Amino acid sequence: MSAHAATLGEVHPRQYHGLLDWLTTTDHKKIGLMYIVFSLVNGWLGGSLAGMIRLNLYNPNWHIVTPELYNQLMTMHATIMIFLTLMTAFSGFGNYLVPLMIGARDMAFPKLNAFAFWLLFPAAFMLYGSFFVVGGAAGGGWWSYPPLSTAQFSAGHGEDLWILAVILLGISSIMGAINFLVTVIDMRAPGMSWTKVPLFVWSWVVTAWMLVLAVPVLSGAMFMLLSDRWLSTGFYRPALGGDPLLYQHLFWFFGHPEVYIMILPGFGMVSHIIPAMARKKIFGYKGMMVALWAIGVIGFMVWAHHMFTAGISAQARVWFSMASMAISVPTGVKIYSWLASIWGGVIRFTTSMKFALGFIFTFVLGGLSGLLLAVVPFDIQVHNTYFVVAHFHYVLVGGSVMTLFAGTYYWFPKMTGRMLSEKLGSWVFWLFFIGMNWVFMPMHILGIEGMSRRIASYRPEFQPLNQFISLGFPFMLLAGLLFTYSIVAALRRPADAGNDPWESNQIERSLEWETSSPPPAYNFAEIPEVR
Amino acid sequence: MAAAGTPTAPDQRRKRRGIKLVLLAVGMLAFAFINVPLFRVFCEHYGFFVQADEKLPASHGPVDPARNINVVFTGITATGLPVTLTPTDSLQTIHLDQRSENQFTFTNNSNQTVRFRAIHDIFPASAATHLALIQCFCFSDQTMAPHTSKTLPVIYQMNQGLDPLVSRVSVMYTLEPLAPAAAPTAGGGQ
Repeated sequence: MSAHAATLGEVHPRQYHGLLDWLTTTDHKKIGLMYIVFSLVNGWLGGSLAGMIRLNLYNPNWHIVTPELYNQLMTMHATIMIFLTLMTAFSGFGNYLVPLMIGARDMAFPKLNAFAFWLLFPAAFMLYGSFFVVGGAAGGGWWSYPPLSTAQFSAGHGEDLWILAVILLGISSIMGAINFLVTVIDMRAPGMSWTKVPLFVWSWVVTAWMLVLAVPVLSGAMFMLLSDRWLSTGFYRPALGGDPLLYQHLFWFFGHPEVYIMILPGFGMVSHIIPAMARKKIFGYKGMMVALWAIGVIGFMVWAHHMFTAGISAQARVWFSMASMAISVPTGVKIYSWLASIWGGVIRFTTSMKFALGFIFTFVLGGLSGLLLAVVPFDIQVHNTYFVVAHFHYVLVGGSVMTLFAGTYYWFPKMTGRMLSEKLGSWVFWLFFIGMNWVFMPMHILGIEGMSRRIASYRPEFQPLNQFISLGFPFMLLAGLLFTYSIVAALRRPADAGNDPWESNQIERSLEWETSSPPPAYNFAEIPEVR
Repeated sequence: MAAAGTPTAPDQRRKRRGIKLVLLAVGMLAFAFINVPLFRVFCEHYGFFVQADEKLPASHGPVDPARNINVVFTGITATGLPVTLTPTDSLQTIHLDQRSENQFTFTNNSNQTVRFRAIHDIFPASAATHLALIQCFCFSDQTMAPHTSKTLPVIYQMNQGLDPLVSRVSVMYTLEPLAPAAAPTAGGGQ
């Protein structure tokens, strides 16, 4: 017992209270919660920029914002939603749950974990602060292609701050990913072989590998862009022997895996929620595992499908088109496995299950429009139109955000010891599901009809659909307000959720449900054994 | 149990694995920079990813008199621009690596000063990667006073490497109007 007590003491030897405790903590659970709160705050800020965009597009002649500011809003909306909201939300869930699920007491490098989190703040400060520098924030889109992003055409410091922020966020992501990998490889509970690792943990292993391989390439591309801007080098300048197409290749070598980085942990979450709520074991565990890896590997082979109109050769187009279609096979395996897990189950339509089912519906639609975009002639036809906007919002809002809602409703009791209101949750789901489809479905039509994205105004014939779309936004806004309110309301109630409120471990053992809710600092009094 | 502060074997193992992963990330960062020369080599070797023809240098090999290439020149004007564009030679027969020249006459038929930009289009597309434009009026925007004419040269060369099946190349210029008082456009944006 004395040896055991010493082990517990080593976990978090320094004890502070209140704010100082949160500022200095290296506890993976507290860091995970801070990631999630950070994500929620940025989700509100990034979402409000989307609200301004939709307000401006309600009428093509309103010109509520100048075209320059519109470009900045669009760029920052994407940057905030991708880097500060979705990635941090999944990092939060990963930080909180991965050590618990593998029966570890913390991450492998707790201090590095805290450092990776706190790096987010200078990056966020630079991004938001860039609105107030001369020339405003970066306006060249989240891809920031040269020559538009070079000093010649984006002279203000907003672009510099954007590049520096992306580099910082990249460093944070890489450190986090290395931590996840070492934690899962070296700190699994006794008996937890690789074929017994929970699917959420698997999803994070694949995601972490993708981060380690893809993000440094983005950082390299950013360093070169910064060098072209500050030192007048010519990496991307044809006049000096460089090539702007190289930037596009480097950016999308990161950018497409990034899409999977933002969705694979969501796949992992749903793979826990569906069996628990359908009261059936997950169908095809090994197939799901292989599919995750297949998506991760093929995800690195499809980047130039973002460049079909950039002047790449016919051979390259054929290759990237075929590879993009091939990725639908492992994705289809996952969809069928989830459906097979539901089939014949005793389904409990909790809020988390509603979001999981809603995710399957919307993500399949996003995947289908992705298949269309993999077809070169179609892609050329709808390139740079609202069809593309509809597609990636179905994947990222209908996919990533829906899984995050599902995960929050499912694991909130574990994190806080309190249940979120199911009654309010039902409202949150239906408002969000209706609002999301209301806003993004008509964008497919606008795109096919030829409405360009990234432009502050449009031709008059597009006005009725744009007005319709803008009217759907308040539904999503109301869902967000109710969701935030239900979290605050739940936190004011006493903690009485119990260790396993969903009785998940009666269906499939997952170690996080074997400790108290919320778990103690050391997670498990005794490290559990997996047989 | 190791004494407090002494690294244990699992600690060392994790540290080693962490360092290996950091090295992998650094390697991927280096990979981004290595792509600068790799990209050029890859493009040149496979002819993938078409390069912009403005920067294509003229090669200096011996002229190959055995192979004739017919270059067809045409010029059209966008709607509303009162300028005509006529090549001196509508067809020139050249050899690979032979530096050649053609003249284009521009006439402003209106009472107003006009600004325009000539945009060229080369067919077949595979020829564009071998047609070196050494001097061209399309490199800069043009301004013409009312009822004036001017003749400007195009100096060009078809480099070695042109697809053996190609014997005819079309070079078409389209004149696009520019706002008279506007500063040169800054690219991108709205």
